[in-house]
Amino acid sequence: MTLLWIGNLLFLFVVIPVVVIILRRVLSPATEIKAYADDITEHGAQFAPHLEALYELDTTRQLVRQVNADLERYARALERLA
Amino acid sequence: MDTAHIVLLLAVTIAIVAIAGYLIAIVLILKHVVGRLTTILGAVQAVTDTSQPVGEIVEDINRDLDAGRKLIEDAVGRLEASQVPVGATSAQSSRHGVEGQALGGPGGGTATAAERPASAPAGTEPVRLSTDAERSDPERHPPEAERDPLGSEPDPPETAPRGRGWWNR
Repeated sequence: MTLLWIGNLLFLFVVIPVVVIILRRVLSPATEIKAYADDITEHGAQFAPHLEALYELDTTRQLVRQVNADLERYARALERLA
Repeated sequence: MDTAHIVLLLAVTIAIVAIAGYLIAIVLILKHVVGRLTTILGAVQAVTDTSQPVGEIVEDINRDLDAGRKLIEDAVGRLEASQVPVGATSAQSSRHGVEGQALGGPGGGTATAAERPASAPAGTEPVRLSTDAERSDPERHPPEAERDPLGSEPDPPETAPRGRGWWNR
C-alpha cells in the first residue's frame, strides 16, 4: 500500500509536471510557427497579382515580330534610296 | 474510498485535463499551419506555372530585337557608305525634281531622270514608296470609295499640270 502511494505521488508531482513542461515547450514554437505562417500567407499571396503582367509578354513578342517585319521593309526601302 | 484517494483522483483528473488542453491547442495550431502551408504551396505552384514559359518568350523577344538592331545598323551603314543625304533627297528632289540634276548622282533618283532608265521594262510603272503620312493625306490618296475598284490611281483633272517624269510623256 505504501508503494502504491509513493507511485501515485511520483505520478502527480513528477510525471505530470514534466509532461506539462514539455507540452509548453512545444506549444510556444507552434504559436510562433502559426504567426510566421500567417505572415507568409499574407505576403506570399501578393505574388500572383504582381505576375499578372507576365501574360502581356506574349503580346510584346507579337508586337516585336511586327516591328521586325516593318524594320525589314524599312531597311529595304533605305537600300533602294541608297 | 477515503479522502486521500478522492484528492488524488481529483488532482490526476485536473492534470490530465490540462495535458489534454495543451494537446488540443497544439493540434489546432498545427492544423492552422498546415492550411496556411497548403495555401502558400498553391500560390508558389501558380507562380511557377505562370513564370515557366517566360524565359523562352524573353529570349525570343531579345532575339527579335537583336535581329532588328543588326538590320537597322547594316542599313544605316550602307546608307552612310553611299553618302547620300537622305534629307536632301526628300526635301529638294521630289518626284518632279530639280532640272539638270545629275542622274544617278546624290539626290537624283529615277523620279528625276530625264530619260527612262534602260533597266526598266516597258510598260511598267516605277515603284514608289508610299508612307503612312501620304496615305493619310486626302489630297494625294482619296478614300477607298473614290478610287478605282481595280486599284489604279484616279485620272488627274485635265487642267492639272503634268509632271516632267518619263511616265508622264
